[in-house]
Order: sequence, then C-alpha cells, then structure tokens
Amino acid sequence: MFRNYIKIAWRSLRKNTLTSSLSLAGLVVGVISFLLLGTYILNELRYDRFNEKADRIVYVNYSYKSPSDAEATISRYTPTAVAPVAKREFFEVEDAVRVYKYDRREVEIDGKNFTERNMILADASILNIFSFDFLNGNSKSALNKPNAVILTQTTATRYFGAQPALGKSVVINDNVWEVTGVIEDNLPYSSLQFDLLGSYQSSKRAEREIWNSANDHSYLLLKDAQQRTQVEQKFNAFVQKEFEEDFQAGFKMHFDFVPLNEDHLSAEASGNLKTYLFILGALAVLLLTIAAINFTNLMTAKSVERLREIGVRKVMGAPRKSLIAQFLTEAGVIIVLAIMIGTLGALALLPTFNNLTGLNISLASWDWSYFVITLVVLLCSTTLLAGGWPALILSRFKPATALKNNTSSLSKSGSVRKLLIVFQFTVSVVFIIGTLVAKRQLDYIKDTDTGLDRSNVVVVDANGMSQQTVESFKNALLASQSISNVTTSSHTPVDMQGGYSIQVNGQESGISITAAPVDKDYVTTLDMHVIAGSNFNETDKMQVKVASEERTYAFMLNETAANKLGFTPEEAIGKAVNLNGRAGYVKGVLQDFNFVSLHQKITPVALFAEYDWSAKVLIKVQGNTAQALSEIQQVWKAFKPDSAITYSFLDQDYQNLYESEQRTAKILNVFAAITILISCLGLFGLSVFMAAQRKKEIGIRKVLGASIAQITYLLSISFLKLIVIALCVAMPLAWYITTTWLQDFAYKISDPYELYFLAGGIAITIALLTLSIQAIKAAIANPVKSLRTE
Amino acid sequence: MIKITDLEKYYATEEVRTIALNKLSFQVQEGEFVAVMGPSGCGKSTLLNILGLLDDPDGGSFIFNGIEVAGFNERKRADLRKHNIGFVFQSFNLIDELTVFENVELPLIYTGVKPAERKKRVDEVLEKMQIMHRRKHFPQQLSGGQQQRVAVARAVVNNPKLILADEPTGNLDSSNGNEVMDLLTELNEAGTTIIMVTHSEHDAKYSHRIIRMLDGQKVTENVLTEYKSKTLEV
Repeated sequence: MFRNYIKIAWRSLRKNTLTSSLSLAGLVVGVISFLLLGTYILNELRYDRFNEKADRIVYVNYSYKSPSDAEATISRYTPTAVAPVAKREFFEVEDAVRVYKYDRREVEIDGKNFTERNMILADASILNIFSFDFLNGNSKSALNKPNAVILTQTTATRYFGAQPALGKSVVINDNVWEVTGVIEDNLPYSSLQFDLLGSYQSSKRAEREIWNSANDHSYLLLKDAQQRTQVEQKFNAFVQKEFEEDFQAGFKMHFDFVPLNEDHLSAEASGNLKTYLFILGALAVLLLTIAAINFTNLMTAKSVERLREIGVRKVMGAPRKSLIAQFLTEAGVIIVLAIMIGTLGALALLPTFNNLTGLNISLASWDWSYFVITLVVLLCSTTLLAGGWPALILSRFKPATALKNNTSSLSKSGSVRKLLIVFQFTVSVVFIIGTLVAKRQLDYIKDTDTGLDRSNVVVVDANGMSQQTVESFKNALLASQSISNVTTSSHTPVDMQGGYSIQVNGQESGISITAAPVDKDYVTTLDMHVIAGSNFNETDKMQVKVASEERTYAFMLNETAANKLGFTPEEAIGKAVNLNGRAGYVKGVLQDFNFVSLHQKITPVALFAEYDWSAKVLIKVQGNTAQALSEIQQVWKAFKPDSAITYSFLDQDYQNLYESEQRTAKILNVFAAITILISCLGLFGLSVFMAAQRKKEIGIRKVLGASIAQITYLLSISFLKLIVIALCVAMPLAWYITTTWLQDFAYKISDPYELYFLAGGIAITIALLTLSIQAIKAAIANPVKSLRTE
Repeated sequence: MIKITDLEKYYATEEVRTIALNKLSFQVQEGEFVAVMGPSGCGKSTLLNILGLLDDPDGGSFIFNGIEVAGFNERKRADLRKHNIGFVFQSFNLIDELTVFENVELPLIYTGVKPAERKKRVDEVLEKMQIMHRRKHFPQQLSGGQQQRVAVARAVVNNPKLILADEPTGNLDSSNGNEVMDLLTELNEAGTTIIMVTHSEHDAKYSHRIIRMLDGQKVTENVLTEYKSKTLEV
C-alpha cells in the first residue's frame, strides 16, 4: 500500500511540474535558510560548551568604582592576582588560568618573517581547564616552561609546511621559543581564539601578582559547579578584607563569576546578541513556515482538481485514513526531496554565508544526532502542516459530491488559503520595514556628525613608553609628509571611560562627569568644534608639571557639561572648577561629541590638559594610508626596536561598537529578500491555479466582450485585497518592533513613516508583477480553446 | 435483493428545497437487469447514488440483501459497498495517474486481497474484457470504448452482486456502446444484478424491466422479459 502511495506521489509530482517545482523551490530555499540561520544561532548558543569541563568553568568579570565615581565600571579584564589567589586561597577552586592577549608579534623562522595578530599567553593550567585536540606534543606539560609555544595546525603548516613542527625553534620578538605542541585549529564556537598559545611564564607579568591594573582574562575551574555563588561571595569577602582601608575610603571592587556556558551571550561579552539571536531564530522559523504555507496552499489548490479521483477511490471502498495517508505521503515525498536538496544547498552556501557575516561557522556546530532529529522534526511538522490540511478537507467529502467534482463546498479551505496569504505577506512586509529601518539607523550612526572626525586616525598603543620618549616619538612622526597631526591621551574617543565628579567653586555639589587627560593637540587632531573659549596650548600642559599645590588645570567641557553646571557655553568660560582634587578653570567649551556608542546618550565630558598620561598615540594621517602606516612602523622601530607596534583605526574601532547590529542587519537584508521571494513563489503558484480554475469563466467573459485589462483586474483584485489587508496588519506590528529596537539607541532616526509606505509600495509592486504574469497570460488566451476543453 | 419503500431525498440551498426523490418505492430481485429512465433532473442519478450507498436518503427504507441500510454511517456503507457493488460511470472515472492494471486492481487493494491473488484476478478480468494488451497504458492513451471496458473490468473484478451503471454508453459512439451493453448483458446472464440509468431507449431494451421516473417518483414500469428469479424471494 505504501509503495502504491509513493508511486502515485511521484507520478503526480511529475505531472504537475509547475506547482511541484514551485513548492519544491520554496521549500528548498526555506530549508537552506533554516539550516544556515540555525547553524549560526546554534554556533552562538553552543559557544564553549564543547569543553569537557565547561559546566564547571567560570569567567571572571571585574567591576570597580573609585569614591568619586557615580557608577561602577565593568571590565572584562582582571588583575594578574585574581587567578593565582583564587586557586591558592579557596579549596573549592580546582584550577585557575590567566589569559593575556599577546598580539601583534613579529615571528621569525629561518629568516622568514610573520606578523602575528593572534597570540595569547596562558598559565599551563589552561591545558587542564579547557579541551584541546593535540596532534603532537604533551597535552599536559606543553606549557610548563618559559618560552614554550603551542601552534594551531594552520599556523604550524604556515611556518613549517609538511615538516613536523614539534621541537622546532621560533623567534618571537627576538627571543627563542620552542614549539612544544601542535593542536587542531580552534573551533569557531570557542571563545579562546588564537594562532599561537605561549606559556604565561614567558612574560614578566608572571613574576608579580598585582591588583591595580587589569589586563588578563581569568577563568576558574570549580570542583563543583553548584558552589559558584558561594565561592564568588567568599572571594569578594576576601578581597574586601585584603583592601579594607581602600573600601573604607570609598573604593569598590567586585568580581562576578559567570558560568562559561552563559558568558558568550551575556551583555558584557556581546551586547544585544541575545535579542538578535531571537530575531534571527524567529526569522528562520517564519521563513520555513512561509515555505510550508506555500506548499499547503498549492497542495490544497491543486488537490481540488483531484476531487474526482478521491471520489473514485471512495467508491472503490478506500477508507478515509487511507486517503489521508496518501496525501501525507505525497507531501512527504516533496518534503524529503526538499530537505535533501536544501541540506546540500546549505552546505554549498555556507562559505558564502560566512563571507557575508564575517564568521567562520560550520555544520559541525550541530551535534550529529540533533541534526538528524531536527531534520526529522522538520519533515514531520511540514508534512503534517502541508499534507494534513488538504488531506483532512478532501477526505471528508461524500463520494457522490466528490465525483461531481463540486468544488463550491471547498470555499472554506479557500478562506483558510486567504488567511495564509495574509500571514505570509504580513511577515514579508514586517521584514521589509524592519530591514529598511535597521539600515537607515545604522547609516545614521555611521554618517551622523558626532562632533568629531574619526576618519584617518591611527591609534597606536604607547606600550609603556616614557613621557619623554612619547614626545620624541610624536615629533619624529610629525616630520613625515603623510602625517598631519599627532596627539596623545589615556583614552580614544571610542573607549573613554572613567567616572569623575566636577564642582564649580562656590556651588554646593558637583556633577558626575566622564573625564580624560589629553595632550594639547587632542582637540585639533580629532577636529572637535570649540564653541566658546579657546583650545589647549603648551602652557596649559606645562602648568601641571609644577608642585601640586600650585598646579592649575585647564579644562575643556562639552556643551552638556556646561549646561548641567548651569551655564551657557560663554558663561562657563573662566569659571573656577575642581575635578576630583584637580583645581583649575574652564578654558573652552566643545560642541557635544559622541565618545561611546550611540546606544548611550551624550553625558557630561571634561578634557583636561595633562603632561604624563600618554597610553594612546593618535595619529591623523593624510594621503596614502599604507604609506603612512609603513612610516609609522619605521618610526616605531627606531624607538621600540624590541617590541611590535599595536595599532588600530579609530573609525573601525567605532564601527566595532556596533558589530552585532551590523552583522544582524546584513543577515536580515538577505533573508528579508528571501522571505519576499518565497511569498511571491506561492502567490505565483496560486495565481496560476486560480487562472486555470476560472478558465471557463474567463472564456465566457471574453466571448461576451471583456477586455484584457478587465480580465487581468478580475484575476488580480482578490489577491491584491489580501495584500492590502496584510499591509494593514503588518504596519502596526512593524512599528511596534522597530520602535522597541530603536529605544535601545539614545540617538536614533525619528519615526521613519515614509519607510512604511516604501515597504508597502515594494510589497504591492512585487505582488502585482507576480500576479500580472499569469493574469495577462490567461487574459490573452483564445477563449474558444478554454470553452472547448470544458 | 433490493427493496426501497417511500424513499425520500431533498437538496436544500439557502432559499429553495428541491425534492429529488419523492416517496419512491420498488424492488429488484437478484439476477435482474433493470433500466431506470426519465428526463434530466427526475432523480435517476440521486437514486443510483443511494442504491450504490454513495449517499444516504432523508427518509424511507432501503433494504439491501435483507438488511436495512438507510441509517448506515459512511464507514459501514463503504464496507458494504466495496464487497457488494460495482460501478460503471458515463465518464468512466478512471484515475489518470494509474495504469489500466492499477485502476482495475484498486478495488482489490481496498478489500485487502493479497498481491499475488490480485494480479491473477486482474489479469483474468482484463483478458475477459479483451484489454490485456493495454494493461500498462494510462487512461489518456486509450479510446473511449477501451476506457469504458477498463471501467467495467474494474467494476466486476471484485465479483460484486450488484452493478450500478450510470449512462454507461453516454460518452461512446454506437458500436462501442453496443459492445459495452453486450458486456453488461453477459455479466447479467452470469448472475450479476444490474441497475442501469439511461436516456437511451436502445440500451434500455437490453434490460428485463424499465422503470420510468418523473419528478422523483415512479411513473410507469414496463416488463420487457419476464424474469424468473433463481432464488425464491421471501
């Protein structure tokens, strides 16, 4: 019996080539999209879970607050003391590791040079805590000595080709290191990403346990995952006791132990990622649902033509369940085909998807058994949805009615079909609007005048240069033709942090303010706009070198700060102020500028001229950037011959603040287009079917004198009505969703209503084009033909 | 074999109620060949649907083989139908996706006959209907006469006691029509009861008895050949 069903299914598939291929195409695209998005989401959800001890590993987040700070600053970096102290003092901690990013290293192998951007140093315990697949070397002791380095397979091949890498020497920053292990490349869903992994002891950092600077990532391996909160409390109590005086003076330090499995999705690690994953997950399911709906619609539509067959089968004694089984099998055959083609398609398209998103995900993110289960669930649910509905409707008919091929009683399924079309187009329009709004918002962020110019600014990490060296370094750079300006600061305008408070002399209380010590040419290098008073000069900078009681600081406030202090920009000039003990006066007021992501509102900012706070060197380049970079590197070599330069571009750093938004927007763009495509496939299939069903009617109307335009109108209007209904449903929905999303930005586009009309226009135009192909074809057909076939 | 008494059937739309069968009564004995005639809309097809257990009456009694079937649900009717009744339609009603062989095989599948037995019986009946050489063809590849022969083959493959024929020659030319009528006569002579709805006086003459209907009622009954029941009616 089952073979019989398959046979019929196959024959009817081949007989109805157009509807079959439309359903198949829609489903294949749906399956591909589902698998790609699913892989992406799974990739994010399964982050780090492959580590055998993952459930016992915690990541340490650090937050600190000085007495004057309004709020604590949360950092992903921890002091070097955290891991060793935790392991030594708390029996609940089985092991602990510090991971230090040791990037941009010059590596030399037999005279060949490599610039490595992705090297980390870690305590030997990393091999115990995390899981690595060793190809060569001792998986327990590979990091037990200084200057030992483990390479990933790709790096090893890059260095030594087919030769074994184990035991070879490599020169990293002029020191000789020994390759003590080769491991499989990092899994894309691992938060540890590196090309080289060196032993922590190789660095001077290992010599001292310090608490007052934080540059390491710390991971702890607990004996029992249940004890996490308990150990966290004990650890914090320990720290408080250790630094009792500081705590009494108002300093706060707090360490959060975040389970490794939850860390990747936490707001600290990846911002809004969780929300975006939810949106993309919904998109994956909706896309597949839309494809399944197409299929259902085409199946019900088509199966009406088979009413007579159903009648005959019933007359022959077919029980209802056998008819249901037959329809389900037919749906199942198409869906199995779609899943097979779709899986191959997803595999083939994965590199393109990775290219688009800048990720490196693979179907390996799927647990094999989960993958199969997903496919089976996909098969069953789609089959039930797409085959079940027509099966139920059609098998219900009395054989006598079915034999008459009386389709009037099918009007009920017609209204369900209409409902499904409305649903499809509602989803499509919501996605079109969402994509348009997201694009406009991201463009707005990119292009909006944020009060300063980030373009062509290279940020170099001063890497512990003394102030004098920095000054000479600056001057050497300024000698270059391709460099127009150089300045230094503790922070760039992308990562400005630090809570201070500022008070005007004579006022009772101050306000919280973000402040940064800067060099005299900071404002000019970044092209900030002075709206009152004047810019810093050499004198301002030198003034702070005098004995502390005579020191006078020059401050430049942003407009918001001036306003909050109760002044207009002009009034603020010359006012005596005090910033956490730094006495001085307001020298200038700057137009507001954005120094954090546009998710946040501009808050008060004070820049103050300083002499000795030069962690970052900001270089404004002109002309050929590559040329400028090579010159910068040359100058760097002259000053720091034994350490590699670390640099980034300011505008890129700024863009990176919106990484998850940018990526989600890219994915949304593509899949919103696919949503529309699939919906149109369905619409096209239905219009073909409707035209065929009304062939006789069209013939009669034409004989009676109807024009092509009238017939086209007749055939399209009922669908168009549905699309208009979909628009009415979609718009408020889209409004709600986009408004909620935009709320997350302090600076956002204001009600982009014209985008709603644009989206509506796009949907109607595409639908009309789709419909008219078939309607016009039917309208120009010779009526004699259609009447004769009846 | 069949006894209907005061049989009623209505078709109701929102505004009008049409009476299709109006207290119709008659009997058919086993082995008889009865033709039902009348103008379009007199209720012939409705009657045939009820007799074939494809539809249920709104009133009256319908005794089939001594059992009252008027109140049967679809499942019970289907069960009775597939074992006892064969159908021949004016428009053949063959399934386009199935070959000649598969079409004829269908009733045997639904009555649960084993594959080997099915093949044997289908081959036999195809042989008898002289259509064996077309067994692998699809319906569209056959002439109208051939298609109706396949339909007759399908109707008899289960050895039904009763064959209901609805204008079996309506879509055929006269020579093909005569062939089909000869086939039915042969089947009747072999013992199968036949009730045939027709517009054709020519075809009706093949039967033992003609029942003429108008507006859902029996008007006259002409006995053409006195039929002697082989079994005694109780």
